[in-house]
Amino acid sequence: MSTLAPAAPASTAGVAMSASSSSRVASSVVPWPLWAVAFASTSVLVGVLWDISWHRSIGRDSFWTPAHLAIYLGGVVAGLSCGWLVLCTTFAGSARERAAGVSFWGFRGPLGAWICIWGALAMIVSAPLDDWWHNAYGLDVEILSPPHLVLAFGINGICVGAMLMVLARQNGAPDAAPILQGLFLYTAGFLILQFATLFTEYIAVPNLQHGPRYFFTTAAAFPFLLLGIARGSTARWGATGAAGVYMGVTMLMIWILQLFPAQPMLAPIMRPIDHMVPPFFPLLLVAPAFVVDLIVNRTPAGAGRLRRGATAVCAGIAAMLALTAVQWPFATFLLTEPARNFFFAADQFGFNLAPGPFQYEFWGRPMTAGAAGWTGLIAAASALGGLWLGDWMARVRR
Amino acid sequence: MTVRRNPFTAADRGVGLRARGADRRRLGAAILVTGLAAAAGSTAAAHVGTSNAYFDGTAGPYEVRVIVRTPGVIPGLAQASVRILGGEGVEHVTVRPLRSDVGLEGAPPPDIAGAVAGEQGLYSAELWLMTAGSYSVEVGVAGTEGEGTVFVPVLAVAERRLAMGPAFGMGLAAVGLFLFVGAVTIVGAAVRESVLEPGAEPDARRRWRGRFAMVGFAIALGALLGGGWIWWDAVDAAYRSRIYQPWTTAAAVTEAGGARILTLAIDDPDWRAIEGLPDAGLLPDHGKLMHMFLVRTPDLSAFAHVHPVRGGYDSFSVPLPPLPAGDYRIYADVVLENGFAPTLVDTVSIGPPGSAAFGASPAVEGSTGPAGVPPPADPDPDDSWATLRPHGASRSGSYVLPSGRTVRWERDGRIAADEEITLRFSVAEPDGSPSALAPYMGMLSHAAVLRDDGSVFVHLHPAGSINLTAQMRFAETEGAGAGPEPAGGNDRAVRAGRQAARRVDGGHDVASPGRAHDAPLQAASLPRNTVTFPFVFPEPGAYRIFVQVKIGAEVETAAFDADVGEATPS
Repeated sequence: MSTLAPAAPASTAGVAMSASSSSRVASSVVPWPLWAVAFASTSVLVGVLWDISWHRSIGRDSFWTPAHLAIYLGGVVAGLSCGWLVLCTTFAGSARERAAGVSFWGFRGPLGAWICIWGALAMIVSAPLDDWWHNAYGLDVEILSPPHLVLAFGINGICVGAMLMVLARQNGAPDAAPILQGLFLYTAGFLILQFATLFTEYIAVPNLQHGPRYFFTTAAAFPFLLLGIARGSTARWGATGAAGVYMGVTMLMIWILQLFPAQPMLAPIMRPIDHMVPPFFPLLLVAPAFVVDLIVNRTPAGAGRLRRGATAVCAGIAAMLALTAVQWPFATFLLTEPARNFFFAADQFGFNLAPGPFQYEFWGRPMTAGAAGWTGLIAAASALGGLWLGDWMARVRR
Repeated sequence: MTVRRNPFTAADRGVGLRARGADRRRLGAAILVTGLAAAAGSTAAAHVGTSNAYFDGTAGPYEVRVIVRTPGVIPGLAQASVRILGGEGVEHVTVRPLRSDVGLEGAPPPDIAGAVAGEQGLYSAELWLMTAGSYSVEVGVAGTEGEGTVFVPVLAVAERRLAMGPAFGMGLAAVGLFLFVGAVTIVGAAVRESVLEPGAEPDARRRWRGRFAMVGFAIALGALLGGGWIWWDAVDAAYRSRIYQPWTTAAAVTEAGGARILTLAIDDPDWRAIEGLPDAGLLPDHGKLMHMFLVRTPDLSAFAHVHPVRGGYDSFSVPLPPLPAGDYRIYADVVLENGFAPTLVDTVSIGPPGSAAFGASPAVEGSTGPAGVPPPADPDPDDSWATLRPHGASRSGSYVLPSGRTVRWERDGRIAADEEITLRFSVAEPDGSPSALAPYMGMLSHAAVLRDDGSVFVHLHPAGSINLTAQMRFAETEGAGAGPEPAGGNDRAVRAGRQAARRVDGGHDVASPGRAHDAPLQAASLPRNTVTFPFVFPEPGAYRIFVQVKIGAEVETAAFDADVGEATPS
C-alpha cells in the first residue's frame, strides 16, 4: 500500500506511522514513488541520449535495442508506480492521504503523479504513430518530427511530473531535508536535459552556437527553466545545481559511451567508427544559472509584483549575457584541436557524415544586432514565464 | 559570408528523384548531380509503377535469382530474396546494399540471409536503404562448390505515401482526444487544488479559476495541435514532392523526307539542371541510347520497340513504323552516365500509315516538335513492331505469330501480386518443332509487362529487370578497389561506366566467365526455344505481357493477357 501524503508534523507523524504501512511510506523522507519517478526520468533520458548515440554510431536499430528498452523502462516505471499510487490513494488511502492529492475524474493522487501517468500514455500513443510515420514517410533521420514530438511531450510529462512530486513533498515539509532538496535539483536537472536533448539539432552542435537560431532557442528555453527552478527550489543555489546535474549527466554519457565499441551497420559509411559516438559537450549552463540564482537570492521576499517582474526580466537578459560570455568562446574552442580528445569529444561525428573542413567551422547565418535584440526580448518574455512558473512551483503542496 | 547548411539536419534526408513545387529545381539538381550522380558506380532502371529489381544469373558457381522489393519510402527497409536455382551445398548467403559512391569500403558488414522455412534454397534478408539514389546489392553465396558474388543494381526512390486507414485514424483520434481531455483536466486540477494545503477544499473563486484555466489551456493546446497539423501537412507536402515522377516530355509526329518522324523531347527542369555537366551524358545500353516502346491504347493492339537517335541535347527522334492509327503510350528508357536510368512516359496520336517506307502520312500529327532536329537517315535495323490481338483476347496461353510460329506461355495456377514467378515462354515452328531463338540485341528475348491502365511498365530480359551495363559498371568499379571518394569518385565511376558500356555493346554480351551478367541469353538447362523471365507483379490488375523473340533475321512479338489477383495474405 502506498500513498504520498506530505510528511506530517511531528505531533501527528507518530499516529500516522502506527496506523498503517501506507502511512510509513507517507511519512518517510523520500517515499518510494519519488525514487521510482526519479529513476524513470533517469532511465528515459539516458535511453534517449543512448539512442541518439546509437543512431550516430550503429544506425540500424530495432524495437529491442538496449537504448529503446531504457526508454520503455522509464515509461513503464513512471506509469505503473504512479498508477499504483493513485489507486492506493483513492481506494485505500486515509482521509488525510486522499486530501493530499488532487482530484481527477473521481480519482485522487498527487498532481505530479497524474502528469507522469499522462506522460507514460503519451509515450505509448507515440509508438503506433511513429510506426505509421515510418511506413508513410520513411524511417526517421531526425530528432524533431511530429511523432517524436508526441514522444517528447510524454517524456516531458514524466520529467515534469517527477519534479512536481518531489516539489510537493519538499514544500510540504516544514524544513525540507537536504535529500529532498537534492532530489528536486536532480529531477529539475533532467528536465533541463530533456529540453536540451529535444533541441539538440538547434543548440547542442557547437558549429551552430554563433547563429541566431541557437540564441533564439536558448533564450526561449533557459531563462524560463532556470528562473522557475531557482524560485521553486528551497536550496540557495537551485538553478546552478540543476544546471550542474544537466552538465554532469551529459558529460558522464560522453565519457561512458565512448568506452563501448560500435560498428556502423548502414550504408553509406562516410567515416570509420569503432566506438559509440557520444553526445555533444553540454552547454556551460551553470554560468547563467549562477547569475539567475544570484539575482533571485538578492530579490527581497516581499518585493512587489512590478519589481519582481523587472528583476525577472533583468535575470533573463543577464542569464543570456552570461551564457554568451562563456559559450561563445567555448564554442570556438570546441572547434579547435585541443578539444579533439576523450574529454571534450569534439572530433566525434556520426558515421554518415563525410569528413571535411566544415566540421570545424561555424555554420548558418551569423549573429546580427537585430538578432541580438530579438534574443533579449525572447529572454525577457521567457524569464517572466519562468517567474510565473517559479511562483507557482514554490506554492505547490499536492 | 558563405552560409553553410547544417549537415546534421540537411544531410542524408530521404530525397527522391523528382520534386514538384518551389524547390523542385534545387532538389532535382542536387539529387541528379550530387545524389545519384555520386552514385555513379551503379545504375538501376526506374521503370514505371515499381522499382523492384529482378535478376537471374550466376554468383560464382551458383545459379541464383535475386529479387529486391524496394520499400517505396526512403529511408526504408527493402526485402531481398535469393533463390538458389543451381549449385549444391550452399552453406550461407549474404546480402548487403552498397551505395555506389562509397562502394564496398563505405558499406556495413554483410548480413546473413536467413533460410526461408518450407522453401528449399530460398534465403531472405532486409536491406536498409537510408538515402535515395543508386545502390547495388552485393549477394554472396558460399558453399561446397566455392564462393561467388554478384551485384544487383537497385534504385532507391520514394514511390508512395502510405494512406492512414480509417480504423487506425479513428483509434489515433480517440486516444488523442483522451490525452487532450486528460491534459486539460490536469491543468484544471493544478490551478484549482495544487497549491492548497492538504485537506483544504477549493473555494468557489478557485474553482472558477480552474475552469478558466481549463478553457484557456484547451484553446492553447488546440492551437498547438493546429500548429502540429500544419507541420504534418508541410512534412506531407514535402514528402509528396519527392515522390518519383517521370520527367516531363513532349512527343510529336512530324513529316520529313517522306517519312513520319516521332520526336520525343525532354522538357524537364531536372534534365535542364544537369545540362552541360560532365556526367550528364547518356550511356548506350545494347548499343542504343534510347529504347522506346509504343503501345496502342486502349486495346493494346499494337506494339513497337524502336531506338530513337539523339538530335540535340534533349531531342530524340525515330522513323515511325507503319503502326495502325490511334493513341499510343510511350515508354522510353535511357541511362545517364551519372548512374540514373529513368523511364520517360508520354502519349502520342498517330494517324493512318501512308505509302512511304514507313507510311508517310499526308496529315502531320502534332505540331510541337522541336525545330531543326534532323530526322534519322535510316531506321534502326533492330527496330521492331507488330499488330496484335486486342487486350483481353489473348488469354489462351498460346499466341500464333504472323509467321505461323506459336509462342506458348507455360504458366500454372493463379497469379497473385507480390509473388515471385517465372514467366516461361517457348516458341514452336508451324510444324510444331522447337524454334531456334537468336539473340536480339544481346538477349534471347525481350519482354515488356504493362498494366492495362499504364500505371505499371517494366522492360524485362531473361536476366531480369536490371540494366546489365550498370551491373558490369559496378562490378568493374568495385573490382578497381573502390572506396569512399567524396570528391572525384564520380569521375572514376563514369569512366568505368563508359568502359562497361563499350564492353556490353561491343559484341561481348556473352561475357567472360565470372562476370555478373554471364547469363543474358538463358540458363544452360533450358531448351533453346524457351525463355524465362523472373518477375513479381507489383499490384493486382489486368496486365499484358509482350514477348519478343528473334528467329533468323525476323523479330516477332506475341502478347499474353493476365489477370493478377490480390497478394496472398502472409
